[in-house]
Amino acid sequence: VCAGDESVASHFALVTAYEDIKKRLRDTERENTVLKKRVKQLEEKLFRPEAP
Amino acid sequence: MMSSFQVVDSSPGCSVSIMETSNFAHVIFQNVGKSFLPQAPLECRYTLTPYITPHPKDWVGIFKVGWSTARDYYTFLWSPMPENYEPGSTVHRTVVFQGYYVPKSDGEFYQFCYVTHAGDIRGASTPFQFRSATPT
Repeated sequence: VCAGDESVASHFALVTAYEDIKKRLRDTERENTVLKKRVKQLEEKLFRPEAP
Repeated sequence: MMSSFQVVDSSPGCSVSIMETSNFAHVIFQNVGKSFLPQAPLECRYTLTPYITPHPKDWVGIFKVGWSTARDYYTFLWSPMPENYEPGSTVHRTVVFQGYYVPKSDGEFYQFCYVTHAGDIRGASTPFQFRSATPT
């Protein structure tokens, strides 16, 4: 076993983790956008009630 | 791009992807959550593919993402040897890390790695965190 194998394994494991976290960041940002929009909608409803 | 991971060989039976030939995907971790409760028992399920021959001194470690050597593990458990192991078979294993060996809620990402008796890494899981409150 040469030291290079471990360094390749370490890099492979880091890439595995990075790709997954990158995908989660994308999902979280999408959810963040949806939640911000929802808060804005609710604020508008609360502070500017529609005329009866 | 999946195509960049393909190894194409003209001889029959040799056209396999790197995922099959790579030493680092010989053990597959199953259903790894995005987060786990800190300092609570943690079940780790994994599959030994036919590409690996298990050894009583193989182990599964919890590693902080970005580790550089197999000695950087946070904690580990010996991988139980399958009973009546047949070479070339697929084996499902489960180990349970006890709560007091599992990391606290520290904001770090961890992953499971399967390490052979010779110190070779043969599988790495997707990352997870330890958090008391799990959103969604």
